[in-house]
Amino acid sequence: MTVVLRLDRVSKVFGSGRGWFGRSRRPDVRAVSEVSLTLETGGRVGLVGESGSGKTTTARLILGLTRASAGRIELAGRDVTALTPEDEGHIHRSAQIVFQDPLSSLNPKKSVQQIVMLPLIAQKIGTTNERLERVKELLDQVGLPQRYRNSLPDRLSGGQRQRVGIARALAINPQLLVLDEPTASLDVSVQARVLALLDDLQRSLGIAQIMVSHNLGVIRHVADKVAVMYLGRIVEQGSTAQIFSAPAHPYTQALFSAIPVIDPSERASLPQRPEVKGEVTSAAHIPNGCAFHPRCTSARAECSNVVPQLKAIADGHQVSCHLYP
Amino acid sequence: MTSSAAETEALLDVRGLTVGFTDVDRSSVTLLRGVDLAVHRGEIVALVGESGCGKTLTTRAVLGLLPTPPLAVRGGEIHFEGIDLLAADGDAWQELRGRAMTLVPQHPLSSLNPVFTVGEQFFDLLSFQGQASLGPVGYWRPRLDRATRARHRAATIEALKSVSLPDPEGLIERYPAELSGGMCQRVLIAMALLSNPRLIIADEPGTALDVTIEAQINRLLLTKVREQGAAMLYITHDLGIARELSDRVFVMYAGSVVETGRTGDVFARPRHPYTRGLLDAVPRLSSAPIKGIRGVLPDPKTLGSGCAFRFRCDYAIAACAARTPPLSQLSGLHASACLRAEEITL
Amino acid sequence: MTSIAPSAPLDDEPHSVAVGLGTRAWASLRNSPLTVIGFLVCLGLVVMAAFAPWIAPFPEDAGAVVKFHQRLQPPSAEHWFGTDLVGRDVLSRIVMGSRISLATAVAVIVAAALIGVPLGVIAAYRGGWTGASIMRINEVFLAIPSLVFVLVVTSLMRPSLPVTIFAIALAWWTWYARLAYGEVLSLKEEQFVDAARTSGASDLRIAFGEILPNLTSVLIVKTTLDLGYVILLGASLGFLGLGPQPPAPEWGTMVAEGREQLPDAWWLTTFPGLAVFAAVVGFNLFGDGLNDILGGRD
Repeated sequence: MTVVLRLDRVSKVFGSGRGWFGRSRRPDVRAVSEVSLTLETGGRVGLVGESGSGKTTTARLILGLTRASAGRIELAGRDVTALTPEDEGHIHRSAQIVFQDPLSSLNPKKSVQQIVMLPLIAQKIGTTNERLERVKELLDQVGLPQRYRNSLPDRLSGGQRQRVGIARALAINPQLLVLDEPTASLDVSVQARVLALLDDLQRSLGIAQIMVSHNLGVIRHVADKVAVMYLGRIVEQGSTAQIFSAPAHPYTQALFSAIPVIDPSERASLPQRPEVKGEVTSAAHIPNGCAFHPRCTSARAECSNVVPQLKAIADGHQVSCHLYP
Repeated sequence: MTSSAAETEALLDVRGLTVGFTDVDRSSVTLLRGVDLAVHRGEIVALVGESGCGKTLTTRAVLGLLPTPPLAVRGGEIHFEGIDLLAADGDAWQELRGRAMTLVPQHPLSSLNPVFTVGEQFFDLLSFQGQASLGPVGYWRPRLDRATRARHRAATIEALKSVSLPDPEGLIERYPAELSGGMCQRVLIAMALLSNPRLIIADEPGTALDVTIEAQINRLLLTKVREQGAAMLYITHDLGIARELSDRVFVMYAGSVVETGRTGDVFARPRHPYTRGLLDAVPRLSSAPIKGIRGVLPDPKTLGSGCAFRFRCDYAIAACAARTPPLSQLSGLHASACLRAEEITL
Repeated sequence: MTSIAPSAPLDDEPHSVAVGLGTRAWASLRNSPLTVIGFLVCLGLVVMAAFAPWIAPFPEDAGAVVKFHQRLQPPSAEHWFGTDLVGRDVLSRIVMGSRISLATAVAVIVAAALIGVPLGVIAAYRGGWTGASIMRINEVFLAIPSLVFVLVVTSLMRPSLPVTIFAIALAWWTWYARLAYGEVLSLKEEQFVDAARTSGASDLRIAFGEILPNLTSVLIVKTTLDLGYVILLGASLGFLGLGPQPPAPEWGTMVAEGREQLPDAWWLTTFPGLAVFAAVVGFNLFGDGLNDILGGRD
């Protein structure tokens, strides 16, 4: 197993900068704080969190769409933190993304074929005939009938559009696929089929995947490791089995009890947790100490002063909470 | 339809509601194909379906908010407390909408007027109650009258407290933009409850919010509705919410109700292949496998007669294309619009 | 790792039999007689310009011809729009003049779009100092009313058709820059731009290969509407004596020449004026209709 991606204490602060005439600055937004993550060939990590958790920013950092403020990002054997033009080229050759909104992520004026071919053209891969051949192969792979090759995106259904997005991401044979809530805008009956497709692709191609989602049910089905994020930090991580059988962090537990389930017996197997208090604080005003303490029903004095560090509570299962000594 | 067989008269009774429009190429498009739906007093009913199934359109029709034209009601009836809503005039709606029947909307942030404070919006609501227009005198009198102001203020604070909003006195002075989505939704729930309505229509009130907030909002809504003894029609695409919230459920597909019954029964023993398909598609917290439904929602233009689900159904036979199967009673409140409901095991 | 049942074989039917552009265009034409009128006027103008020498009863009258025996004749069966001071047929001159008006308008708009659109796209896409500088220059041009600006430019050079075109284009590119700027500013936030970036596409390819095609609809509408305005501006310049010089049958110049014969020889000013009016209104109605057809998504 080779390491495809390694994030080492990566942070991202969005500063509003100083305005003209030295106007007062708005507070900086700490979107991501000291996130560390390792992903091996064929591995599948789920990043779970609500709005403001930093999960999408983390995805953008990995793809070089935004520059890290601190830490180190290593992708497919190269340190790409500095994001030089060479680094960017390396990222584009190694990692691809499937976006959340399948309509907005497809150019409305380009045909399916043009969209899927773009990475090949942009990176000057193959001759025109080879590219056409590759598009054909990709459409088969994602289960989109060839007759849609010349269709514009607005003629496709949500599920079909997302298949186009997946085909484009696969075009250059990436080593890492970032999936940013790829099924959030799809209906459940379609979502299940897109998840099945991702599963098939992972099995046949062995591409490492990072799935960003707020839906624990979806994560359960696509990830073998899970990292739960809250206000920019990973508060708990472990294998999918560990997180789903014994969620340790109060926030993870709260997430589980907030999910409506269609089978009441599923709820019984989870630790019961009173509902969280209040709402997510803005990332511009992250509370001192543990960011979750104002909403936590088990918060103690130290929770409001000391930032808890990730500690192992079982083999491969880490949690950052003062409740665990 | 089962609900009509129930002993009490339904609070809201929708029968055979058919809504369509004429497309620019002069073809006729039917969006609602005979929707049957009933809500009884004090009952919590979920209306479940995927995008394009017509659940929002049905709600609009019930609230008298269908954009006509281009849309037109082509058939069916809607009765609320015995009043024929399709024939109701402006005055009748004034009595009903916002008083007997209120809405908790889908997008909390855009559902409050951004230029008025929370207090001002409650003030309007309290002084407008049941009147089409106040005129300048009616508008200014309560504002200038100290006693009325104090009474409205007290009522507003009471209402905000009842939905567990912290610091209601301070909240009165704040603008919607200063509140989070969850807080806006609480304010809207307080507004919807203000007139002691008999029916609350909740149109996916949590979809725009984070999961933990959505859970809080749903729990609040459920408690308040039960407390006031009102009935609620809860529109959602989330089967989990429908399961946890409702007494009875209606499942819609392509413009008609395909299955209805007590929530526990429908989820435990679905009797329509579409309901089965939906349940199988929801990702579980256990490792149970999930399975999607093949194909896509048919275009209402090409649907023709027959069961709308037959193109995607594993149990479809020739007879399914012949005519649209009606919702027929299976046992008690359970009804399914599947020709083969009795013979197939789902 | 959990198991997922293998995906069912795919047999997706087309999502919708959405009404095509042709049908939509036809439906909206049917519902809007004004668009049809606009379209017919525009079509008439183009046909007139294309076949002017064959349509005009006396094509030679476009030039410096003198037919004193029939000067200042009122409209008649032979000369529908009457004759001018030197006996030339006014109808023929208007027909021949359509070539000048249309050529001016097309040349101006092509030039303005070729300068303005790329500048607007670059300003919006790059942002920062580049964008700010382009847009500030743009605003300087915009601050001067276009007629005043064109008057200054043309008065510095000897009036002629190319000078007119150059002067109007120099004033007109700002509108195209602003239009492109605004559109690209919102388009570049679309996810397909991020998708192109992660695909490894260069900025040049993203700006002009991915974003620009999304501007076609608004540009077509803008161009159509502008054809009318530019014809009006060209005629104004001609009227002020700063356009193509006599004997060129420029509509504005013709109105100016005929002005001295008012009120007796009313046909000398009325018919060229009506031609300008028809062109402006025609392109306007047609442009508005196009806007409904092309811009009316959903």
